[in-house]
Amino acid sequence: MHLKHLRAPGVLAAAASILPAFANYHVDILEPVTPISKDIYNLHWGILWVCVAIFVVVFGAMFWSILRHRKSRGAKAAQFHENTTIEVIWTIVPFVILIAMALPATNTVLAMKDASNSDMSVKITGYQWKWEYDYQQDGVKFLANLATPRAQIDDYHGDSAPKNEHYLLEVDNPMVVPVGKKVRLLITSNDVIHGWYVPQLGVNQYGIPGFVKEAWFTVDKPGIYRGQCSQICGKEHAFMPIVVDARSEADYAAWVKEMKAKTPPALPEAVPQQAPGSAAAAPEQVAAAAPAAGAPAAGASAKPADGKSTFDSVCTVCHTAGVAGAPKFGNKADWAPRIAQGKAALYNSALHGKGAMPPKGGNAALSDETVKAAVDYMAAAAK
Amino acid sequence: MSATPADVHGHDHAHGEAHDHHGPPHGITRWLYTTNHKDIGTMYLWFACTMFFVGGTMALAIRAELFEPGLQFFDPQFFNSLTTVHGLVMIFGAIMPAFVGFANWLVPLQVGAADMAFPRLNNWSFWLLIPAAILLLGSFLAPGGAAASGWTLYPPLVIQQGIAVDMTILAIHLLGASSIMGSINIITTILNMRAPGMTLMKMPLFVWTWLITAYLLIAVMPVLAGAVTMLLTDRHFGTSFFNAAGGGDPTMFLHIFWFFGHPEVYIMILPAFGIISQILPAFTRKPLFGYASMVYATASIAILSFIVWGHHMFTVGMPAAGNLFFMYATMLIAVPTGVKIFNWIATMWRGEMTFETPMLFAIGFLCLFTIGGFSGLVLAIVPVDITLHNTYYVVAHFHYVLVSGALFAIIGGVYFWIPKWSGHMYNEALGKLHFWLSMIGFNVLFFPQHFLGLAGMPRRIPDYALQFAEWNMWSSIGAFIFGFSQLIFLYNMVTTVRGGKPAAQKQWEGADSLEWTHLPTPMPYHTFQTPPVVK
Amino acid sequence: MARPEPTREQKRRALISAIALAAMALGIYLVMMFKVFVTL
Repeated sequence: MHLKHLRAPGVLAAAASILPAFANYHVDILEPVTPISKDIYNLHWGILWVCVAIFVVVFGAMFWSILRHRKSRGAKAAQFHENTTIEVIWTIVPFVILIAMALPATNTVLAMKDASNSDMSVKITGYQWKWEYDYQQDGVKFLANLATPRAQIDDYHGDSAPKNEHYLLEVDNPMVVPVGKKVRLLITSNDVIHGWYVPQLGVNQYGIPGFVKEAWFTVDKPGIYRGQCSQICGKEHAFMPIVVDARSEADYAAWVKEMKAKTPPALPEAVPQQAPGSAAAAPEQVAAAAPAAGAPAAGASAKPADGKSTFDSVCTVCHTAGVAGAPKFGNKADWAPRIAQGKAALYNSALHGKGAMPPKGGNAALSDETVKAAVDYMAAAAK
Repeated sequence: MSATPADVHGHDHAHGEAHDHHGPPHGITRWLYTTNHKDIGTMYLWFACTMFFVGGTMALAIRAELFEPGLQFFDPQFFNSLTTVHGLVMIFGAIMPAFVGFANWLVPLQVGAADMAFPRLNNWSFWLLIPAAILLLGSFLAPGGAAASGWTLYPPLVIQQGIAVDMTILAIHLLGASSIMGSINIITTILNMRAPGMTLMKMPLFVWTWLITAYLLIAVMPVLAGAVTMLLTDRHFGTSFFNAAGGGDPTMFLHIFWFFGHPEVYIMILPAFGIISQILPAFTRKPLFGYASMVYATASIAILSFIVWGHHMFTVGMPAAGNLFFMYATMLIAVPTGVKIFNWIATMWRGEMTFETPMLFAIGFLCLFTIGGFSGLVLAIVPVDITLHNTYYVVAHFHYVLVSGALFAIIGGVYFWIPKWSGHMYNEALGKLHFWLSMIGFNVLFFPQHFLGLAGMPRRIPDYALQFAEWNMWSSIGAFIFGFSQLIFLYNMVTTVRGGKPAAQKQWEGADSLEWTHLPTPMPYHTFQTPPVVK
Repeated sequence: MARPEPTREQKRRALISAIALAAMALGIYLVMMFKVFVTL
């Protein structure tokens, strides 16, 4: 086990430093902002109070018995061991309580499954490890990547950068929606099962590759609502957050206009143009595929076949440190047997995945040429 | 039922000990070739204990990484392997073998049989566990590290990984074969080897719960084997059961897996119910309340367990009717489970209680398992589950039922029967210290995880947002208290087995099953060669 | 050494039980594997 790394004094010092730093002792579901999540909130509290009441009655009886019926107080054991009346009662009463719980829940289930009469639809696709949003009516489509820099995450040597307020819950391109409109979500995935989960919206829906699943929400209140991928989807599962920015209808319209202006019209590929991040900024990003279509300028100059910039933005996540058995960049011993199998085999592994490596390093939006260029770059460095 | 085991008559001690001068052979071959149910039971328990500490070390590694935000120790891929293998090891390596160990020791004694029905099959069942454990743990050395998909092994993620997954699949096949062989043995023993007069409704409740559990195992372990075989052919032989591109459906795996997975949950808790039903009457000096309704409740839970698997899948997008069916069926389980809790409390009511360590663990079980039951009820409500699915609330829920449920029952059961098994009395003061540290450590560890889940922290993540920092820190502190206090248990048990104050034949005043009433302490190597007569 | 021996009748019934249970387990597995064979 790697426990030998556990630096006890350091841990204690960290404990002392965290305590006064933030006081986030949440004990409740976060503030609900949709009709469904308000139902969920009320259902949860209703059931919780019923449970607390039952607990107090039942365990009140138990603890009273523990205090009174002890041998040390001279209690003498009674010898009764059945009582049909009371057994029937404590079978029927819970049954009735359960029916009372199930009725309101049933109404909410039916409501949350009814995505009809929506005002707009957004197709959401999970990738390892980012989200793509495709606005069906407004023609806006972009990727949302984690915006927290790698330097704030990696703390292996106790020297991580100070963390942002919304550490790990911030993205480069949030999903913007208008308040008061019924937004229908069409959720799917490109590779493995992901979970699109935003607690305050009351939505938690798996994206399943090959299938499109429906969900919906209507946000009542402008604001920024944050969530994360809820289903384990590989190495960077913790690093593909969701940010929903609910704005007034006018602000939403302005945003759509702005996004359309940024998006180059009529791209050849179905997926938005991948812009390999500039070499200087990108290594800081986790699975930083690219700032995507929404980000201006970033990739306009760097065209696909630049192996180095692809490496710096994508491959480096694993191949610099040799994570999960990945051959290390520049390490001849790691690469020689792989290179010996021929370029075709290398390309094949990179394009379709091998071992812990997902296809295209998890960045399915990369073109085949871009991936091959990155392979060439890595192979050349290890010769 | 008036005919509980308390009514057993004929305390003719000569029955059991006619041949007690035949001790076990010495050396390693005793353990390799043994067909003695007591030896095999002991090996199962030590195996479970070893795996418990291995899995526990992984849990502490996980909690160390989660002590504060940021990545301090592990690469995320390795972290995922830790959560995956921790789950598999604890379920298939610790909890299940521990219960089979109890069954080996106790089923023949409590039904008055000389041994299990198939002693050699019993030996095989145990020794299959060793290669399985080696494969499972050895997969950490495979290229790419151990399976990192969560213990549920969902495709397509699990398809992406390397040979470690194949090793895990093979390990699951071996463990499944071992469980099925063990179950056949247990059922056959219970149905055919009972002493004259030991009718089914006179059997101690532990035997009843294991009879039902064994049927569950035989019904669902082949289903798991089928599911992982399909994974294997998807990975290597070009099938597309779970691949949409080839006409399959990943959701199908989830259905098959949880059709196994939910009965599996009850496989891990029903024998615990049995152990608690033995401990409580012993320390209240009063017969178990509602013996017959306990048996019927156990059977109802087992039957219902086959129609509730969908509650693990409310977020896959089943139709409303599907979600509602699984919600109602799941809520229904609260009725027989409630009956059990009420019966236990009625057993304590107007008893003559003393509070030795096994009793403390039984009471700890009652309180904390019930909290786990309540959070289970909360999770059964589809809309609430939607917001809590795959969060730490779920992690808290299933640790309340599996650690303070199954594990507390196992620990309580070991304290309860170790005097009979070893012939020595354990150290009561250390036992109580172990209980209180476990109780405090456990609640500091898992109670805050409810809050983390309510605030939306997903499970299986190595790093988290800042608003989760405080409760995670407490949770990690609790984990280290809980984890290290188990060393007290280990020390106490090792010293008890090696020596100590001799225990009485009937160490606990209210204990009433055959092993206490009919057999001396320490027990001879072979017992009940002439079956006792139960009236 | 004196390994306890079950009676003839016990052995006979035990064998029948075991075969029935093993058939049940194998049957469940084979129903699923049938699907695999059909696909392969």
